[in-house]
Amino acid sequence: MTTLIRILAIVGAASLLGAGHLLTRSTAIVLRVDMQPVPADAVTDLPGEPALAQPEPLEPIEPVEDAGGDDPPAADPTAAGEANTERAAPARSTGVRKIGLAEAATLFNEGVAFIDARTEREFAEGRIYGAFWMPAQRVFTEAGQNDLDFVDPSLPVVVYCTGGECDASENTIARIRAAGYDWPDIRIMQPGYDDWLAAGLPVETGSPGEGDQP
Amino acid sequence: MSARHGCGGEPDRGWGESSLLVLPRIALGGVLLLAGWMKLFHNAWNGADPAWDFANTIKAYDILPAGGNADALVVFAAYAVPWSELLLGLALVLGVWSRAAGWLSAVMLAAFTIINISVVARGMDLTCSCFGEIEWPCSGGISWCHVGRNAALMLVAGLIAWRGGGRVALGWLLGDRSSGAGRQGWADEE
Repeated sequence: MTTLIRILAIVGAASLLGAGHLLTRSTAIVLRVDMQPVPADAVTDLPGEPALAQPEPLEPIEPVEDAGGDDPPAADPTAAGEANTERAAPARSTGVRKIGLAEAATLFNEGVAFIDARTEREFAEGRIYGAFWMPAQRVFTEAGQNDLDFVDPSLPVVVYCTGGECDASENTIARIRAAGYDWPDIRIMQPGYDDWLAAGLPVETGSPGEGDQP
Repeated sequence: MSARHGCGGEPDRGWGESSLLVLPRIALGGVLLLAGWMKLFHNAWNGADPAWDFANTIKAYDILPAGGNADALVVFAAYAVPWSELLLGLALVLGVWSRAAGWLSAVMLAAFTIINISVVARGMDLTCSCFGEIEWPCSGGISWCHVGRNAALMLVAGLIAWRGGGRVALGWLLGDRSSGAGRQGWADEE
């Protein structure tokens, strides 16, 4: 009986501590609506979402002359198109749209903000040129929200992580929304950073804070 | 080692067995402390909220019906489970209430193992969040590696539940003999 009583005591103490900890939170936890991956053959057009279009062949872009200044390098969407074999699909779970590498490269050239949702070490080892570091844990920090305030909500925002079915992008987006940033056009780059790198698109390295502002 | 006999009539393997139980008990306790800490407090002073991630991980397991009270249960579990791990880890490291901590750890780890098997069997690609951002020895989505790791930890917990925490423990020093080595569990307890 002693062991049973002690087990119940531990369970009770953990429940009380957990409930107490939960009650001391300053903000409510907002769970994501639906985390299940959407099978490709189950994707349909959703209300409020743009119709899913077949990827169109990309027009080659004019080469950008290097002015020798601090202008960011241009991405070649054709290179991305060759490397990107995934079909862009809407992500039903978070109301954002998943995009392929080619579309991401086009948006990169248009100067939209790229958000890196990976770990600090991964970010420092290499990231999309000009992307800023925003894992979910950083959204509710003062530094994180200072960075988020830079984002122009009238433009699309691209979030990426390691690619595939990594959760980090969705985690970051869910928390950005919970923090009150009502950006109308958030897109997840479904191929990850490694795919971007493999396609020869612009990257940079260094610790957060070293040129990681949008 | 003298072959004294315990109250159950078996040879008293107390101190020899105790020395063998110290390492797995403290190792398991350390692992649980790390797991609980990473789920609740990692980078919390920097404004991060690891419990939020763990809550979403629990929800993503899709083992509870969605919405309403189930979400409240998920959020509660996101705090209660790590606190359980912290308390169990503390008990095991210190050697206090070791047998109870071993039983409860074994039950928790069995549940984690079953959930992981369920995730793998359903072909879901989910991160574990077992140790927050730490991925060791398994990395990436939940896989058979995670199942094996949890099963191994469960066996260690089972060993402690079966044999007790040994005599090299704070509980033994404080006069608690119900968790010492060489005793046979429920039947030996007062």
